[in-house]
Amino acid sequence: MSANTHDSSIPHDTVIYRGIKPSEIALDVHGNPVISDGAFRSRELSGFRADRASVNDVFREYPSAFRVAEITVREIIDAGCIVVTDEPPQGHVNIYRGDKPGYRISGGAAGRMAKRARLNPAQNPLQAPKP
Amino acid sequence: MTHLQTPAQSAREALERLEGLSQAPSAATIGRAKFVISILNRIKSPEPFVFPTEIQGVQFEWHGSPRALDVEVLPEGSGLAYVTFENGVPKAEGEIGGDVEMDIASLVQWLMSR
Repeated sequence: MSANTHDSSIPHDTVIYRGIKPSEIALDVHGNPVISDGAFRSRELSGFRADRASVNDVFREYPSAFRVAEITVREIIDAGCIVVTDEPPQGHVNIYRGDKPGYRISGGAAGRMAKRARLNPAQNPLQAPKP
Repeated sequence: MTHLQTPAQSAREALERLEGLSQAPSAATIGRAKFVISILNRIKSPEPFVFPTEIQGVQFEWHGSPRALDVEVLPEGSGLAYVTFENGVPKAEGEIGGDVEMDIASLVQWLMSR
């Protein structure tokens, strides 16, 4: 699989797990967690296929993660990005901007993904935010 | 009218927390972020969420519906950038230049005008 090629063998309804660091989450006045749009802004976003890896696998492979965001391949594509298989570890994928793979994902694409993402309820006990 | 989520922490408190991170933005970047906060206070902006960015910048985010706004303080004096969203879809993206206060005021006014 080329680093710049979308893996079209992954069904579009496949959920991708993305580890979220404590600094990428804040609470609103009602205690609801808010994911930073910046959590999806990078040259290369690491993620895991939910059909091949568990949330605990994400915490093990990405120990700085406190929570896990879930987003489908379709939602990633709709944001103008591509998903590239990058195993091992099992289920690992990288997400790139579709028009310029390897360049920083645009603020618009990152925000679109973040606003579609859902937080899995599991928390990494080793990464609880400091009070 | 856009309904905005209100952060539990003020922008100034959130920025102070960023200074304690292991990969904190530089003092110069924090200083420019404080300048943005002073503008937001002057124009009586709704309180934004404040997050670090992967490249050691600072991002102000207004999470709302139908409209939302991000303003990014890029690291090392490389300026400010913004993205506007409507119904979760990006509408406009660009750099803030010239009169920073006027540009930020225009973006916040757009945010609140629907």
